[in-house]
Amino acid sequence: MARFSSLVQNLFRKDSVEQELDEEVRAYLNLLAEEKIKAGMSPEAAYREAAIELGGVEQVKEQVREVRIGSLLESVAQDARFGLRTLAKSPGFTAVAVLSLALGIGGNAGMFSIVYGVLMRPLPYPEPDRLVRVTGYYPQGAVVALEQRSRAMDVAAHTTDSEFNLTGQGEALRLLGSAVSANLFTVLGARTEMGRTFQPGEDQPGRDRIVILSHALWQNRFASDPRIIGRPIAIDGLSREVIGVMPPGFSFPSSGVRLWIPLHLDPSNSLDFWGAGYMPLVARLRPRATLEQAQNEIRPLISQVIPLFPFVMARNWNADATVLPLQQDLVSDVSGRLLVLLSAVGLVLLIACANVASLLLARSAGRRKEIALRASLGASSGRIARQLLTESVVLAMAGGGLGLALAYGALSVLKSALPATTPRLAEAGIDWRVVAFASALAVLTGLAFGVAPALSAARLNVAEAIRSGGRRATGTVSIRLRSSLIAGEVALAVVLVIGAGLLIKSLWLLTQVDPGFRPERIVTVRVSPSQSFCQERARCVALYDELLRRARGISGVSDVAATNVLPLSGEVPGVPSELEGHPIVPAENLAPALWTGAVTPDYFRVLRIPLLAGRVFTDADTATSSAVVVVSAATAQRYWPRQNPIGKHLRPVWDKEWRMVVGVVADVRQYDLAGRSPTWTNGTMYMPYPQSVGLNRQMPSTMNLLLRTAADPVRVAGEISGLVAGVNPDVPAGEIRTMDAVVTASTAQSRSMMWLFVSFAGTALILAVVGTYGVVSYSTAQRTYEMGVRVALGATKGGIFGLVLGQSLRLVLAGLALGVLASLALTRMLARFLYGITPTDPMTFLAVSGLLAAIGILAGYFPARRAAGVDPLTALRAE
Amino acid sequence: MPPSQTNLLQGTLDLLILKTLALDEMHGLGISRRIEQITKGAFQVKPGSLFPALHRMEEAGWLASSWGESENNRRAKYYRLTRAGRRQLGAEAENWERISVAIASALQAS
Repeated sequence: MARFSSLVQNLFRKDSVEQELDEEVRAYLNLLAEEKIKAGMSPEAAYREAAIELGGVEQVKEQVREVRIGSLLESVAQDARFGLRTLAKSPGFTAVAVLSLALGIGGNAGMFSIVYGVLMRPLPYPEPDRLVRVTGYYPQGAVVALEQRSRAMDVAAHTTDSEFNLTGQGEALRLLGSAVSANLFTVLGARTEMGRTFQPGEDQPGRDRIVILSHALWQNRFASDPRIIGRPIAIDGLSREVIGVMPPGFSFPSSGVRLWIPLHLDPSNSLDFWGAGYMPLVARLRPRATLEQAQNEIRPLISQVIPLFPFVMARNWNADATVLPLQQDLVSDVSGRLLVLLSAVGLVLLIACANVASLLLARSAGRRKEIALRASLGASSGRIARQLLTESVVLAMAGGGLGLALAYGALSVLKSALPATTPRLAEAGIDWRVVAFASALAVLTGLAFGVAPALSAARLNVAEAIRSGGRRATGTVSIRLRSSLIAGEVALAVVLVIGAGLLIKSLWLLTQVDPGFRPERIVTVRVSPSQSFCQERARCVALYDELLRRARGISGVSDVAATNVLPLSGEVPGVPSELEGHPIVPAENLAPALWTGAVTPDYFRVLRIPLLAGRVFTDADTATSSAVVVVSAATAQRYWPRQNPIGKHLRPVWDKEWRMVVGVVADVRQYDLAGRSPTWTNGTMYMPYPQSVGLNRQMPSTMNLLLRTAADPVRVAGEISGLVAGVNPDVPAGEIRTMDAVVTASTAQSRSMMWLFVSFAGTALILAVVGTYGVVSYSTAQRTYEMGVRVALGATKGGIFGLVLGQSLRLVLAGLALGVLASLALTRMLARFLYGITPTDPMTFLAVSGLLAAIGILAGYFPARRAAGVDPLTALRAE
Repeated sequence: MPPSQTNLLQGTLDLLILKTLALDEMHGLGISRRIEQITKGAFQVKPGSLFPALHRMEEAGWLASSWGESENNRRAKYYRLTRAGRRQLGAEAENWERISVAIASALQAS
């Protein structure tokens, strides 16, 4: 209690406490002097002696203040006020320091928000850590069998990237959706906003004419109709009853999914049940079951399922199935990139800190006189160090506050810079965790970069500092510390710039790649009649014939074609096939999957894909003519080396009839510009559209029209969508884009990573330049006197110029050497994001070294010129 | 001053101040003169040590202070022991004795 009241007294009655202390010490002084007068001293001598014996009224008072409770709080507030005042007095320094920090902290808070939102934020389902993914793709039959047999998991399945046509609600709409097992919502633990989810058995034929809508679809297409439940709507030409609406934010398995229908499980159709529509699995661990138990049971279960297939399934089918936490699986594609970017932006923060630390250090060297004065007036060295520390924390808080504001901006920039397909990106936002993260960073960096200057100030020799006037003397320790800070920060910047250089060069190489076709002046549009419309093949063929005929009539359009999949669009239309001379031994190997294009005759001409042998398709290749295919050069080379591929045969594994190879065309980079393809595809073939078949053993209903045109693509696009509506209003047309845009979009990930990395590296470079310039010009200003002496003793202007420039260059070169060494070790992290170069590409390393040397010269040039212009008389007189 | 020495001296100084004030209330100079006297000049307490100690002990609740008149009618701040201060004196004195006995026997043992 006594402590508390004294704390209150100290804080609130500061003046009277101070006054009392002053009185007390003076009373002591008087008593002491009186004693001496009694002993026979003259009053003046007595007071002088007493003062000496006392050791200074102010020092004693300060020592008392130090021990008082509340003095800590008090002095912190005082320090903060004082800090703010001094910072306001040197706006240039403050601006540079606060901006450096704001850039570092803002970038980090923004990037952290993304990383947290995408990688770390728990999935929005109950007990999200119990949700798992079983790797691999499974047919309906296997899903049912696994769900029945598993003891550790409740197993559900869902299709990915399924599209559905919604008709009868204004213009026909193509929607992303998912067909799911009836237990999917139960497994996820997801509840509806309105209505109910699927019940067991509702994925059986006869009970499956139902649909669940997303909140967005309900809102936009059904005007948030409160009586939507029970209403029939037309999906892919089939009437389904709406049974539920999901709450906003629910979107599984990917963002953009707008509706869910049950699977259609029909064991009597055994080919579809076991042979088509392979799906990923999602499961929930049963109570008390562990991930290990799930992992231990899954492979044996799969080997039990293999004999159930109505055809012979390879023994090694999904033999590597693994049970992973669902969250880890959802973000596995992006986590590498995001973590690399987070490390990069972390380096930027380190650089910002080093920058501010060296600025503070330089400043504290310049403030030696002030500090010495405070020391001689009774401030203990601990007190001075604390004051400097407080000043840096104030600085860091200002930087942190501004940084947080920047983070808001950075977040939206980052979000738009990252590919829109990044899972969970849309929901990432600045929340309290990010605020906490930024604040912790601000305080930590404040402490971190406050320590060095504070230590150096605390070690100050008062008498020496005052005697030298605090101007010329700059402790070698602080100079060395500052130089190593700068060299270190240059080194970090070098690492980032080299990384950026590698990514730039890699992307440039990627854009120089010949994709095997010519994308210029091609407009594409996606036309998607429902699958049921194409049940009758002739109807679908006629639709596209008509569309192509009318498209040819659009003025400015020189050539048209259609294809089921655009190269580089990311879709993979694989068909398991048997090729002549390569019999499939069912129990031993899986059939090779061929990338299968369903194209109209002019496809190769429109995209300028060269014919190497044989012929391409003609209008004579119809549904009734003999079945033919065209293969790519690599496929021919792989399966029929040193043989004539023309006249060879192949067939989808479920077909009886063989198709004859009539032509070989040049290879096209179908999957990505780097020339990779999914591991499970083994080649490329093309079928004439009327004869075509997809993985679902049906004719592809969705096709992309390609229009080669010299005219304005926007006008052509407008005409084409009107044209589709004119032919059949129930057929949605959309995704109108140029082929160039498709190609560009295929490098979106590399591009966004490159831009983000480059902006981080650019920031780092600017910070490093400012830091180097700051240190060189500051230390040059401090050496004005020395320069004056040198000139007076006969040094030439050129000599002085070289001296200062050399200093700057030495700093940068030391940092460069360090940075290159660090890069040799670190750029390995980028290897998987690079195309066409190694992580230690000598050209990039060389170019960056040149750039940095130039920057070193630039940073030293102005201080050097100023130093060379020093007039010895002025410099010497100034002392 | 190295911290170890400060700590030793601080503990000792506290004990001496408590001991000095056990008889009567006193002002600062009085306390330092009395300590000189009872330690036969071995301890000379400087104001730089005395005042922080007094204030610290007042914060701790061992001492109380009030303004009064000195022998020659000068205003001065007088310190006296509180009840907690007396308890502290007992405890510190006992502690001190134990240490000095321990050190004495250690010295004899060698």
